[in-house]
Amino acid sequence: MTDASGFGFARFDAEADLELDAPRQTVWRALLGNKVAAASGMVVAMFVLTAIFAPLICAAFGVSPNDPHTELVGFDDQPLVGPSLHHPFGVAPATGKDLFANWVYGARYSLLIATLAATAAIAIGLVLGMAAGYLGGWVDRIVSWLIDLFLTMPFLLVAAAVAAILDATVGRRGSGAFQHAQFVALVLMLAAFGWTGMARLVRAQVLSLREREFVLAARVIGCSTSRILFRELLPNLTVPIVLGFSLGIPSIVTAEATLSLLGIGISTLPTWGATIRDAEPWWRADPGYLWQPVLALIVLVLALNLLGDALRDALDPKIRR
Amino acid sequence: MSRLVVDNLSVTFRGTGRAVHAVCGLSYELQAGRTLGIVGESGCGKSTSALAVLGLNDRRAEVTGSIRLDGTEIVGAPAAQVRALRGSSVAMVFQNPQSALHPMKTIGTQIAEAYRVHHPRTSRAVALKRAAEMLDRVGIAAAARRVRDYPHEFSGGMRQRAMIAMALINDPSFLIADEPTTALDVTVQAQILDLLDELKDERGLGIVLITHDVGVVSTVADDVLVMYAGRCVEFGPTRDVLDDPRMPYTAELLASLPSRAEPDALLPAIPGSPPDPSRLPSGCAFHPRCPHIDLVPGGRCHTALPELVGSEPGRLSRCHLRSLPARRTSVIITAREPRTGAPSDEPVLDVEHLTKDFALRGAGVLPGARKRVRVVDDVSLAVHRGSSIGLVGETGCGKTTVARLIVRLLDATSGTIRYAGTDLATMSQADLRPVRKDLQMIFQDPVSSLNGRHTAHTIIGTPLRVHAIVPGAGVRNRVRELMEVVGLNPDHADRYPHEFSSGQRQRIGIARALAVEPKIIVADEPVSSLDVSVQAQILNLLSRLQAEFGIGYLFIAHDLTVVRQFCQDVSVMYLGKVVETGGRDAVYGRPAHPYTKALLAAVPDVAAPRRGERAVLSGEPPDPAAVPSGCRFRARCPIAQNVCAQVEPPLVEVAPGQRVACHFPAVGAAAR
Repeated sequence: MTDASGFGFARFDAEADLELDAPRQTVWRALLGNKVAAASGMVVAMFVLTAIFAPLICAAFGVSPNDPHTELVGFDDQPLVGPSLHHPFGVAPATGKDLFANWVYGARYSLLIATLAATAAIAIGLVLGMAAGYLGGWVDRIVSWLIDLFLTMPFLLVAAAVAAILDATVGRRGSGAFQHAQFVALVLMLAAFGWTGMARLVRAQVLSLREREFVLAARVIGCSTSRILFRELLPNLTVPIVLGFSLGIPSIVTAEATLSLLGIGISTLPTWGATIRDAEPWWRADPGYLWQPVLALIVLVLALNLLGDALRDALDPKIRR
Repeated sequence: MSRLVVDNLSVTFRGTGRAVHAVCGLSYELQAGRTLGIVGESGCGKSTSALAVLGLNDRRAEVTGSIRLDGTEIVGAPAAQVRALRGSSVAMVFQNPQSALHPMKTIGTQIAEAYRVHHPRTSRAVALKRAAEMLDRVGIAAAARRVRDYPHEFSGGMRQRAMIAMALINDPSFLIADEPTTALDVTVQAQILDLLDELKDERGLGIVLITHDVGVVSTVADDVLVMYAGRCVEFGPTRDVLDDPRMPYTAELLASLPSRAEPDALLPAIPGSPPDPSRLPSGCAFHPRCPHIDLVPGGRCHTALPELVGSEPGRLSRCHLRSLPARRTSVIITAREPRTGAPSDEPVLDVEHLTKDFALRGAGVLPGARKRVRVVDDVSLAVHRGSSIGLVGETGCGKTTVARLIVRLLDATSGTIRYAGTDLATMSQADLRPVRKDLQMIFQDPVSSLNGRHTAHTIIGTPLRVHAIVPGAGVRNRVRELMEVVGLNPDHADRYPHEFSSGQRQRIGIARALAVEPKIIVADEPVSSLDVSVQAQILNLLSRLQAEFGIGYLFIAHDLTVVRQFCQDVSVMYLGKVVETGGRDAVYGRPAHPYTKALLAAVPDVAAPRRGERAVLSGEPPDPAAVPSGCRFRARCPIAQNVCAQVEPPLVEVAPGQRVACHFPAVGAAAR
């Protein structure tokens, strides 16, 4: 996760045709006809379902992520039981927490944080990008300056600083308020570093759209600026929005895991990054502990990226053949 | 004598959807030293057939039949063999010289490169020298120096000349010119057409000239081949075909040309639009639009494709009818309110001394030091109720800027726009909002003027909602009514723009303008991106609406024949200034400004004389950032004197209602 410059948004190139000329059915057909896209779509759907129904799944297996089972851990902290029907992924060394429950909730928190952060980033990027592109002048200058500012700030350093400030100011570690503040701060951090790419992209797109005759026609009719922005321009920005989600979410998932691994992410929730951090000392004694979240991350991020690429190709009639 | 023989050529595209038969069984034969004009509307297969001759079709294209160049077969020949022929035996000139030239290489290098491909042993220096000679031949002044220029240092016309030089550097026997003048201004077009014609005679070149413009064909082609839906529908010597067409499509197409119609008359338009090549009609592809379908017994037009038969030597046509019935005469609209030229006749919109300056970007750091360009300079015009004023001129003359100033998409630097007792030029955007109802605009491009994400209903309904013209519940019905008024099927209200043809899209744009019941419509090139047969329908619609609602049009166009047919008054612009203005009969009949005369002479009219018999204006419009001193036209003017460089001529009346800005107006002289 070195690409702090607007996360995944940097990946679609400025030359790409961001206009949706193709009717929707054609896009669907192109997506479904692509085997890679269909397979990654299925993988993503499984993760999403896991995330949504995490409590139900855990209840069905009778496990929960935070209950310690010290009785299942020996004196050398090694777990006494392997994977079984009661604990499908086994239990963690030392604490005896159920790893399956941890893993399932990891999917839930990773996707929840990524979705929230991506939504916030896209919303900020859209509004600022549209304002800069359409209004121009000093609005454009301020937004461009903000984008440059955020691009120059080192993501990890700022994240570490924010974590330290939170530790120092917001109550006791582990308290409800702390947990809450940490979650909100994380989402805001990820959004604050994610919006720049979206804003740039939308600004460029709006710059070319505003000279189009249909926008001129709306002005001649006497439509208000907000009507032009939200009724005329916004529907033409579907492609950047869809791509913003599909390419932004995987990079935010990785970013969140990185922060947790470094101990500056969410410390109290069973995210994958936190599990990786906890598993790290045990990687030789209990390799399965480490591999569960790592594999999940790799598979989910890969599937999301492949799906995003396929979506981009399907939406761009010039690439599609 | 070299011969290019195309025999039963078919080009089919098989993609994921249905097969597209772009060209079906096309045959022609061209001898060196002759020009064959291929005319047709969009999607008729004219460009596809041309690309096939050079073996340049897309990989997905399936080319069958035979193309022989002096006995060498091109279809199915190995790539290396076809490549050896390209450039040396057959060369091509494309429509857009801007994109056909490499922007990072000098003109000379590019032409020399083309030479060295076929003469690999020639040194760079020698090739460059040949390039300079060739540039000189195609009429580039100081060619030896200008070979070192980059494409952006050339004007549009010069780039097209450079493209021709590049095509001819290897002395090919055949040249394929695909819409070579479509991107150019009318005066430059005349120069390029003359150049092609000269080169043909000089080098014994065989030219295939592909165009949508019947006028272009009539001025330079020896023979003409009319294409419709991928097939040749008529072939013969140009004059004969244009004077006495045998196929209903050719006849209807010629009749729908504005240049042939009476002023103010409704044009005899062909209904419908050119067919989609992926779903061609059965039988004769023209039958859904043909007026004579009842004359053929047994409905054969629906079922049987007519053969291409020769009615007399050298002529071929594809129709079940042996001879066409006489044409019906055109109908003159009388509903249009007659306007007298009396001064008491108050204009609805009165524009006076309109001026617009643009600041050049990047020139000077301090705001005051920025170089300014005056793109509209002291333009005055008046729009009357139920009448049309045409604003004509070449690219960059400022006509579109005038249109945008009037509807306040741009703010004027100075001048007044008087409407209903107020000055629109100084009004705030908020005060302007209610006035916008009376002042609408129709745009050029039927694709970009409609938001592709909205249905026709939303597009036409937006002005109704914004101005609360009908209560919310009534919008649906009003949109249906408006669609009917402009000739659209109201049941298609929920379709998206891409589901309509370009003519229908333009109708949606007109319905949107009409929704607010405007008094004035500014139409910026409303028909210039439409096919000829569709153009006539839209012009008729605009006339009908004018007669019905008394709308005043400001009609901006580069096509002088359209303006003559449609507008009662005309203003001619050159580099931001009006150089001549007056009634249609005066300006077209007795043009007093040398520029107006040159423009009129340059129009490739069906009835226009051929090369040598008409005066062609030299040069191209100068950069608006460097306007010449005195009269701005003097550098290109055939009658310029010393005084023209010193004193800018004012716009003065030379005849009742006709005003000209020239020191030496041709008063009382008849055109041509």
